[in-house]
Amino acid sequence: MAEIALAALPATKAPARRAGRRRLGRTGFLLTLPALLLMLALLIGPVLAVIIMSLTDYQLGAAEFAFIGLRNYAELFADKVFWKSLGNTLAYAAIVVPGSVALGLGIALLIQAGPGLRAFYRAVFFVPVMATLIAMAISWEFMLHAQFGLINLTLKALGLTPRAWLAEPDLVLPTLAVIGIWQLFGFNMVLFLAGLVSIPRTLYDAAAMDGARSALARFRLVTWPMLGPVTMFVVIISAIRSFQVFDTVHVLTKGGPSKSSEVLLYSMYSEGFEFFRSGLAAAIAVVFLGFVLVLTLVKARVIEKKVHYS
Amino acid sequence: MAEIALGEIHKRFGETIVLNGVSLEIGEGEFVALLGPSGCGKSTLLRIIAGLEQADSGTVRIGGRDMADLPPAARNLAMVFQSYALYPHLSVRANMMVPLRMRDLTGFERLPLIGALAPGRREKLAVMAARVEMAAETLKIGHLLDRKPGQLSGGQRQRVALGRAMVREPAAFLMDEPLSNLDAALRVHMRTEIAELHRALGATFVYVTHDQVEAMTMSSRIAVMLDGEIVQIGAPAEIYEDPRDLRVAEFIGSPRINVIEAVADAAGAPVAGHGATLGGRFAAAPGAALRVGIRPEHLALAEPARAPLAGRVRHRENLGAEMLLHVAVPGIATPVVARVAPQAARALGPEAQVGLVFDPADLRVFDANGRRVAALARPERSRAYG
Ligand SMILES: Nc1ncnc2c1ncn2[C@@H]1O[C@H](COP(=O)(O)OP(=O)(O)OP(=O)(O)O)[C@@H](O)[C@H]1O
Ligand SMILES: [Mg+2]
Repeated sequence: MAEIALAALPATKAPARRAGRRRLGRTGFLLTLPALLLMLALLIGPVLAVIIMSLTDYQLGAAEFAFIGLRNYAELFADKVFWKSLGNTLAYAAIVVPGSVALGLGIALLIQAGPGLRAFYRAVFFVPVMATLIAMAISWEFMLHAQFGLINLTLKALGLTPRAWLAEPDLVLPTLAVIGIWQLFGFNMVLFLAGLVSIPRTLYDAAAMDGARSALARFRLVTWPMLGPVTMFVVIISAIRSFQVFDTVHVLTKGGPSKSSEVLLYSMYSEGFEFFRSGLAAAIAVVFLGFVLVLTLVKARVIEKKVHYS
Repeated sequence: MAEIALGEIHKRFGETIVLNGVSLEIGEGEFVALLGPSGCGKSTLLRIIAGLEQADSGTVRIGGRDMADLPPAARNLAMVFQSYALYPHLSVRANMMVPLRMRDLTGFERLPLIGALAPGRREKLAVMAARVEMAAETLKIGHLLDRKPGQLSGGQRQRVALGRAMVREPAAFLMDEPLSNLDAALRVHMRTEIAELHRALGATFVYVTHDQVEAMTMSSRIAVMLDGEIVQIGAPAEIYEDPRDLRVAEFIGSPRINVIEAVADAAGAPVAGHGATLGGRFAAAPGAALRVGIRPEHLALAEPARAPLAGRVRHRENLGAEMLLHVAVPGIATPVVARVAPQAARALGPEAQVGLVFDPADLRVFDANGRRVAALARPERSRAYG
């Protein structure tokens, strides 16, 4: 209000105006204060606590602790299991991200092109997203069971060799990744559907007039570029969610066999809550946060500039 | 370049009949405006010509060839959309290149990265780039070629859309209200530019608009569309001077034509509600209800006692070069609007009593259904009132 009134005055009132602006700045700060406090308490505070904890030898339940500098990190980086766990997590993400993005996009395109039942398909494919993963992991366990599992029974009926999906070291991570894709693609599909709806129809008309005859040509000329921002978002979210894989590992494999399905969050869990080495677990958490932070920054800085057209 | 022939096109969306037997012949190199109020089916007709929409029945022939079941890409037409429909992720240059790439490059050559391995692709691209440059030169957008559409003004986007349509040398240009998103000054400017473009290219233009000024100033012929039918086709002057239907007479011309309810007397002359004989003789049975149209510029001020129309001035609109007088004539429901010279009207006080005279040859008479009633024995201008 003050600013509006002052703005109408001639330039000779500059000092008064500056004071007004300062007052405005203070008001703005006061208004954001509740949000700032909440962010401090709920986000920044805990992160700081974890970072500090990662510099100590704190053990869960211990009465006292000492600062030990970067020793937790040194121990971590010297540990083969940590590298294995990090590698597994990256490999898992490398399967789940492209898989869930491609499947989500493909099904969204099919639903969009199809004549009817859109709401039905949308709901069906969204079920895995809403279902509790722990419960779903148990169903998967039944399905994947080496002797009585539905999958192996089907393979046997087809005359193929059944496999021990969760017990073979080479197979366990891809199997978990398939479950991860199954869990994630419905979410991606919904985002892609929203993105598809917002593409102006006239662009497809223009493409048709310009000579795009096949569905593939239309996809390459209009759909894919116009989905750029959505795809970017979906890829980042999928990457973050696959970095967070834990439930299925915990229920189905416990990181086994012989660490071949050990992932970052599972290592953190076992260090923190099975061996009670909270300091070390905090160091893993910091590494994890680092990855998430990098992904978020990539999203915010580099690629958003390229995929938003204005 | 080609002629376009539409035969008995019918189209309905669900229950609504949008096109009800539209037939239209557009000659090679002609500029035809499809003019009609909002929702009369202009865009639908244009999209049917383009192949973006399928007619329920009827034929579309372009250059003598039946277009049934041919996809838009195979019809070699270019369309300019109201919203421009530029690809936002592509530069102006790339936007204008798209129709050429789609037509002249094979699917393999269009592939990213490995497409570059195709022999001869580089030469083809150079030829295309040259054509884009040339079109850009014509439209004076050469300096914008490396920008994205988001960084252009409305008028510049409009030019890019025109450029994208031009590069391919299509059989005909289809334009759907291409100027309606521009401000008034720019619209006037682009009007001349598009008309010039038409002259320079000599191509067939089909131009959809609901703006009669655009249609009157740019086109060689106007097709007036009302409620899914083409009511009249003709040169702009013909449509204005000689409307076949009351709806056409009312749609064309601003301010609107005055319509006076009348009844034919024994000689076929219309007698207005207040008892004055309006003059002329028309092919109407005695006692038939008539609707007499007279354009505001055909009315002149006169002594109230001698004039067939007389009443009080209710409202004056000074447009600078001319003045619009709204005159309430007793016995006629709506005020009669006259377009007169400001000098003549300045002397009049508010609520002044004025008379309005006209030449009976300027009357356009319609029957109760709005169909034009022919004049019998056109009266000589010299023998007219005033
Ligand atoms: N896809 C569609 N589904 C249903 N009805 C439609 C569709 N497209 C157009 N219509 C209807 O058809 C009629 C004619 O539409 P059209 O777009 O051809 O009008 P128009 O003359 O171009 O109008 P405007 O000047 O407002 O663009 C309208 O009543 C419209 O509601
Ligand atoms: Mg329209």
